[in-house]
Amino acid sequence: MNKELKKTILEKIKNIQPKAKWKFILKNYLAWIFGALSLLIGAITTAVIIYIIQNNDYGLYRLAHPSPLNMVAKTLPYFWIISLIIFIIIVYYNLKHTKKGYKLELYKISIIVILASIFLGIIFYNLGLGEKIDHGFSQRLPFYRQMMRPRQMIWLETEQGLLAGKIINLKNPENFTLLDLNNQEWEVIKLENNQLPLPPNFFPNNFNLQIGLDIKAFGKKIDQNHFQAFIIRPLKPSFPGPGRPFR
Amino acid sequence: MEEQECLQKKDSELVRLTLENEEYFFCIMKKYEGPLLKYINRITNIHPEDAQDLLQETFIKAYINLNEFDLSLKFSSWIYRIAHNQVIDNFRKFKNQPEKINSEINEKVLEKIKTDLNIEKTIDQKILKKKLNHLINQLDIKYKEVIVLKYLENKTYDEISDIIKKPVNTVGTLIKRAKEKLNHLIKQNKIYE
Repeated sequence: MNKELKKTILEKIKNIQPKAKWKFILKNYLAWIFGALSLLIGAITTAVIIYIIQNNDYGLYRLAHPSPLNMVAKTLPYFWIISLIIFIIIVYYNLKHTKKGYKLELYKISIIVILASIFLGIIFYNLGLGEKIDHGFSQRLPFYRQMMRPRQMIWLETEQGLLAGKIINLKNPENFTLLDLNNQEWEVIKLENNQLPLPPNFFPNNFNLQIGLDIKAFGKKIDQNHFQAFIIRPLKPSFPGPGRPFR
Repeated sequence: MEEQECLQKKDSELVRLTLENEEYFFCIMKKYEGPLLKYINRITNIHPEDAQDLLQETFIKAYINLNEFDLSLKFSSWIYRIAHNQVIDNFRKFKNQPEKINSEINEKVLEKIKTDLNIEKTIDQKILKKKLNHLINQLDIKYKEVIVLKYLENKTYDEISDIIKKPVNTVGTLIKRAKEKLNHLIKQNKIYE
């Protein structure tokens, strides 16, 4: 480089100020903060995924369909899975843009982020965050309800013996009226069936039917408005007792 | 600024002094103009004037971002990284320029490359030396750059990682692939006797 060029550069930099140090520090912190926030949201997303999968009543569904694969495909929370993937990418992007982020390898970051999401997701799930978010979204966001509809539609396969809805009239504990998810009314008669291949502790004995309660049932369709229910379980999965976890 | 005064000072000290008084940037330029210009020339095929322009842009960018440099990094790695970014940013501009052959590969570098590439002894030394630049120039820029940094700039894997901002293992993989490609080119060009 000739002297003239050095002189030109020195002339030029006389009119320029180096960027302030705080700008670089802030940029680094922002990458960490956004990375951490995305990880947190990813973990909450994982909690919702765990909640939804955990509370898909595969056991009850299997009584109607021998292969649960169809249900798995229908009920996987795609919205949340895609969200999780997006947040994992955002975490990766932010970590890569921290000061020493370039030293981290893709597979290492991916494993760390996925494990951290699962670990925090399990904690959040156990704190009830998954349930709160799923219910909150269902109540407040119409688009979310629409997206989750295929998951509910499974419980309208009355020909296969599946029915779900809200109890709107209770004549006695064995006989009630149900408004299904398509707003159709059903006269439901509860009838125990000992022929069903159920584990001994399957029936939720401490489960009380009441008006306004959302339930799901496995049984037999009698006609267009009548349904014989062999098994009744609450639609909301926050139901206690031995009947809940059924595999 | 006296040249002797510049050479006596450490890079980190020069950075600190430049931030107080821009005149000290002269020392940084004095110290790195040669190595950076060589590096730019080695990884690009551009005309000397264009290389000077790239060098000028590199220094101005380095000055603007001087506060970004911290002591966890070698200053040379940091300023090479800026040059690397300038080259990548301008890559399209000089991509189609005619190839420039320079004969800067000395015996020591040649021997190092030969050993590392497991090049057979039967190879014609003179032809290899003559053609090596030409062959390196045929490599994709990402391979060419790591070969230049490792063999011609004598940088460690860690330094290369800091310059091109890639994980050390990725640097290793790039160098391995670059060597394979170079070996393939050597065979393809029938440099063997």
